Amino acid sequence: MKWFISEFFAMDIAAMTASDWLATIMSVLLSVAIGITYYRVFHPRYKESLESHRDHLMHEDS
Amino acid sequence: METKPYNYNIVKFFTIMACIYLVIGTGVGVWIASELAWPVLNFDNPYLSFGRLRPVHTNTVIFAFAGSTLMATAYYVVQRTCSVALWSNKLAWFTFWGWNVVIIGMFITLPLGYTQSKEYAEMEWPLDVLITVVWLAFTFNFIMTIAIRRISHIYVANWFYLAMMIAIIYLHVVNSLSIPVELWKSYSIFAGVQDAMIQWWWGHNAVGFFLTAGFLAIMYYFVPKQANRPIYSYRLSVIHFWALVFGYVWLGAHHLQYTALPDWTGSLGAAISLAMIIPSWGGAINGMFTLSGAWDKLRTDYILRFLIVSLAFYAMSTFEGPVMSSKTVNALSHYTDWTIGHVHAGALGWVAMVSIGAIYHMVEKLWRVPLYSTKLVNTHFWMATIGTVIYITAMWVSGIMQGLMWRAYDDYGNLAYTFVESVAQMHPYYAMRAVGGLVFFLGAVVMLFNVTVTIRQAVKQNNAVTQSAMS
Repeated sequence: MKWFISEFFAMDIAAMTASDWLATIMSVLLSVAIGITYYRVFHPRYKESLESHRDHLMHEDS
Repeated sequence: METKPYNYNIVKFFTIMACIYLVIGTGVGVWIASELAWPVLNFDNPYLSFGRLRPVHTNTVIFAFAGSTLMATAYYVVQRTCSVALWSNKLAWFTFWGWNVVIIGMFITLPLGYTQSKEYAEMEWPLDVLITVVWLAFTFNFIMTIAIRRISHIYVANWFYLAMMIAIIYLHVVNSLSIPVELWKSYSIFAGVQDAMIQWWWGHNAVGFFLTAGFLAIMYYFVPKQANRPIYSYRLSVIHFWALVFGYVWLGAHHLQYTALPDWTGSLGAAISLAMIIPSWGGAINGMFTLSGAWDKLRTDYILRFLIVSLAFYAMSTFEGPVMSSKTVNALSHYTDWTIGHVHAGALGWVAMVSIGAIYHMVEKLWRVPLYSTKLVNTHFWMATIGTVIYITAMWVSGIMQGLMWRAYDDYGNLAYTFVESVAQMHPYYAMRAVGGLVFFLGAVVMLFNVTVTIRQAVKQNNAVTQSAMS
């Protein structure tokens, strides 16, 4: 099992090109950003301010 | 609504064209479905052959019908939610005429055999250039209208529209990069497996952004408006948006399982596809729960039925898609009619139904009259639903049967069936598919009739009011 996991996640870092690094860094940053978004949206502190826009459409004709 | 000088004329024109293109697109679809069931209908005529008419069908329903719906609703929603008229009426009219020139160009060139042979991007390079210019004008006008808004908050529907516009620009441009050799002939700058990857990076994101993000914008505006209730959860809509934008761009490789593409890319595509069930269902639930405490409206409001049933189909097809992307299921489903069934569950059940609901809603508001016949709306609803169900059921059975027949071996390791035998077995299901499509198409004709009569009545009423005011 341990062998399987280390084999699965094996990386040849020396062979990585500039494109590989760019894509890896972007992927990690975007993953962190989506994690932060989830945290902020679901944190009770932000509930009221976000949900205040729920009825935005109900006032558009006024 | 009356006091603000919104540009509704552009919305009206796109709405009418959407109704017309729905009839043409589904009509060509029924014809080519019939060609598959009864090949004699090809008439040995290259211009009418399945290979040339199939992209006419897909381009008509995607770019002509869905595109016109997106432009109509985007211009309508951005004005109303920002409480301001469009930034430029001239640019808006340029998008209307430019987009229709693209569609007419497509109607002429594809049957003549001028094609780039890239799925959902068949049009040759002059039309690709025109699409880019028109789409940029559409996007710029939308952004500038938001920039001059009179309300500080940008409603979530506008975020979805904007994501669609930005994504489609770079997807379309990169996928269409080619070297022209003649006016109507070009060669893609990509080759081999890179070409396949770029093709499906575009292909799946055409689904993800053009046919999902844009129509989720429609859902987030028209479901609350038609139900006259606030959206169930604004927080859920924010998560839905960011998760969708984050996730969709990774999925394309799941179209290329078991090909020359590196294995890990297919695994990544499948893994993210499965993760995408969460935001997709979150969005569907958000739309449906908007009706919490008011489900009885579905008994009497036929427009709302279209909108809510579209969400059921959205939930169903966004579950089915990830399941089909997993390698185990894909080994059976790929290259079979199951894929066609899945696409049409999304295209007919989700995209067309939510569009139809939005169009009926807008027709009443834009022309300020009730629809000519609500009974006909109900008739259309049942025709659309029954037609879709017949279509996708036929393709499920046909697709799974194909997959099983193609990989059946006898005791000696030989294929149990020839390909021709599998084709012969498909005939009843191809006939059933044509019937389902025909029912859906006739529903679209009913809609065009209902909308046309409604508009004529509204024009008559307006003329009568004008005459009485002058006399």
